[in-house]
Formats: sequence, C-alpha cells, structure tokens
Amino acid sequence: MSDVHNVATQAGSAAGIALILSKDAPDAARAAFSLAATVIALGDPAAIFFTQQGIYWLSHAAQSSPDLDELRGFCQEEGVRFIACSDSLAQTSLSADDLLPGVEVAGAISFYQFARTVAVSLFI
Amino acid sequence: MDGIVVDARGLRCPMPLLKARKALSALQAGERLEVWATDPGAEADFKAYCAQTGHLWLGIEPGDDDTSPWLKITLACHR
Repeated sequence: MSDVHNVATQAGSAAGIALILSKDAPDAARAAFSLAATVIALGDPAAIFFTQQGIYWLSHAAQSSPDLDELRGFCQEEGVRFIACSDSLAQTSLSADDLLPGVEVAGAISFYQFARTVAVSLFI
Repeated sequence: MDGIVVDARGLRCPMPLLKARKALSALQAGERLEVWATDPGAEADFKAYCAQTGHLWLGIEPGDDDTSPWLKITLACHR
C-alpha cells in the first residue's frame, strides 16, 4: 500500500496532461478535448499539440458538432494550451491567420518543454 | 433546496463536471449544489472530483419524477 501511495504522491507533484492529437476524426478530437477539459477543471495544466491531420481542429472551417464545439470552447476559455505543429501546418493550405485565436504555432521542442513537466502524455 | 441545481441529464462526460464546476464557482462555502445526471460514470467522477478539490460529497439518490432513470448528486461547496 505504501508503494501505491508513493507513486500517487510523485504523480501529484507533476500533475497535468500533454496530448498529441494527430487525427481529423471527431472521436479522436472528442477524446483529446474531453481529457484536457477534465484536467484543467481539476486545476492542473493541460496542453494539446495538434499535428498531422489533427491540425484540422484548429481551423475555423472544421466541421464540428455543437457538443464538440462546446468542449473545444471550454478548453480555450479555461486555459488549455493549443499548440499547432509548425511543420504540419506548413504541409497544409492553412496559414496562421486561419487558426483559432490564441493558438501557438511551435515545434516539437516547445511541446516537449511542456510535456516533460507533467505526469501524463498521450498520443491520439 | 438551499443552493442551485445543474441539470446535466443527457450530457456526455465530461460536460456534467464542467457545468457543475462553473456553478460551484458562484457559490459560497457550505452552499449546496445538486447535479442531475444520466452519465453512468457520474457517481465515480464526482466522488473523485470532491476528493481532489475538497468540495463535500453529500450523497446520491435516484431521480424520481421521470420515466427514464437519472441520478441526483448533492455536493457542498468548499473554499
């Protein structure tokens, strides 16, 4: 039992989540936005790195649904960091002006600088 | 009831939690929040939320004035 407690304590000292969203499928986006929103609601930091087809979800033109829009909006309002992978962005016809307000455009190093400080990282 | 109600019936996880959190931010310490939910994970999630944030878990009971089942979860705000 004490080992379990110690693990929990260590994870607690580095609380937060770093997500990589690489797909344009709505289910993938829902997973990323739901997890990030939950973590930020609990008062811990969260960031999503949008890469490959995941870039799509940062565009104003994304075909979303009302509840997915609400989740994404909550993430933005509550301070989830949205980071657009600069390399992936360059592979699309989108420019930084086509992205939602508040989105950072940065590379893998910037994402890792955040990810190395948090307890959980997931690739979606 | 002394406090407020968040009707989150029909909403998928994590929306009941997000709406409850928003409502709690407007409450004073000790005031009650009632959350109505159909999400089957709501009981476990709200207990975990209370454990992490310090809000007080007061209980859960079945909602009774509808044909489809739902849950009534009661919390007390902690500051």
